[in-house]
Amino acid sequence: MKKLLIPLFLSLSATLAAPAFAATQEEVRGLINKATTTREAAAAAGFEWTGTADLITRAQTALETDNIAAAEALARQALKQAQNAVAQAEYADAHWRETKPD
Amino acid sequence: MKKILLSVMALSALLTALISCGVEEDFREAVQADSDTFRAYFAKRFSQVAFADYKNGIYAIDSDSRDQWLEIEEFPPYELNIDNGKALFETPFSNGKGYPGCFANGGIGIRQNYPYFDTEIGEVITLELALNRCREANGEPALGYKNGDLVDISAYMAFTSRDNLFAIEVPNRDAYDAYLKGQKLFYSKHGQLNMACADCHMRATGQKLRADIPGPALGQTTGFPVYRSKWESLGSLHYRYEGCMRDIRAKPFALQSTEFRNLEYFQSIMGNGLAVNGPSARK
Repeated sequence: MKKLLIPLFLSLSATLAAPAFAATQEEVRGLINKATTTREAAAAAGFEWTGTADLITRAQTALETDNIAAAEALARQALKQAQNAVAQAEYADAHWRETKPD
Repeated sequence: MKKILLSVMALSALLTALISCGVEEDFREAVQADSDTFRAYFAKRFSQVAFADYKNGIYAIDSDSRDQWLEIEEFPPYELNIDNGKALFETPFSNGKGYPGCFANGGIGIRQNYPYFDTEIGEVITLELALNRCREANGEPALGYKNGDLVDISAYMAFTSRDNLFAIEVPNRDAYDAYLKGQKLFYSKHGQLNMACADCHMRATGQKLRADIPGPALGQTTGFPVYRSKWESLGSLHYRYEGCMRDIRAKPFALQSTEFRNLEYFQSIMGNGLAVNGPSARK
């Protein structure tokens, strides 16, 4: 009985949770656009990271092939990287002198 | 009334001159203070190392690798590059002119004055950039900045300048701004690994960083171009900068970009007083 309940519980959870968490194609496209503009801001400040552009390209490819879940994961990763790079630039502007030797 | 007006104008001109003179002095003092602090940092970290020895990079502080390096320098791997550089340097352009005409003293023994801040165009000019601008001014195509012929010519010019002491100046406020931008790049953390030049080449120098010991930042530019065993070729300083940025997962600036030239400017000023010893060999 227990063996039957576990898969039943898992499939029910997946069914109920899926509509609540899965992003739509439009939402993922929005994420990719946001990641792109944030990456551009990091690049303009001279603080772009090496992997971000590749993550965006891979997210776009996944979206084109209707692999929405993968596209979303890649776009979120790219956005996080780009946001961290912008934060790094802002931190450097405000604090770089503090790391000079006394 | 006219006399009073003239006196006021003269006084105001005098005050302006005095103020701007004060500003000039301010930035020169700031650069000197930076340089003193920078040197003091390394003097404290490696009290047994003489200032003049910092031109040897990692080999100034790591005796094990120094022995290997001295053996390598007995038959320098960059010797053919110097020969090639000399031949290219002495070969006239299609228009009959040549490199010597673009440089002071015919380009011989002048490495210690590069990079310099060109006050007319308002930017830092490195030796490699000056070489390519010389080519372009004479109708020749620019050469690549990573390695190859341009770097060989730079190596030859450095070779003719060996033992001359670096003497890079900060001539005006704009030059000081370029210096500050280079200094900011040096001390700011970049890339996914969140590291600055200073993290490796000041704080971690002398310690193992995975399999390597990062060289000290003081005197880091004096030996370029360098023959790196990893590259199996002679390469430029900006090629090395590019590799450093990639290593910390930061997107590198272009070779001879304003950013890298400013960084070279700052680093070279910190190394003022050290001898030119390029080209040289590095791991």
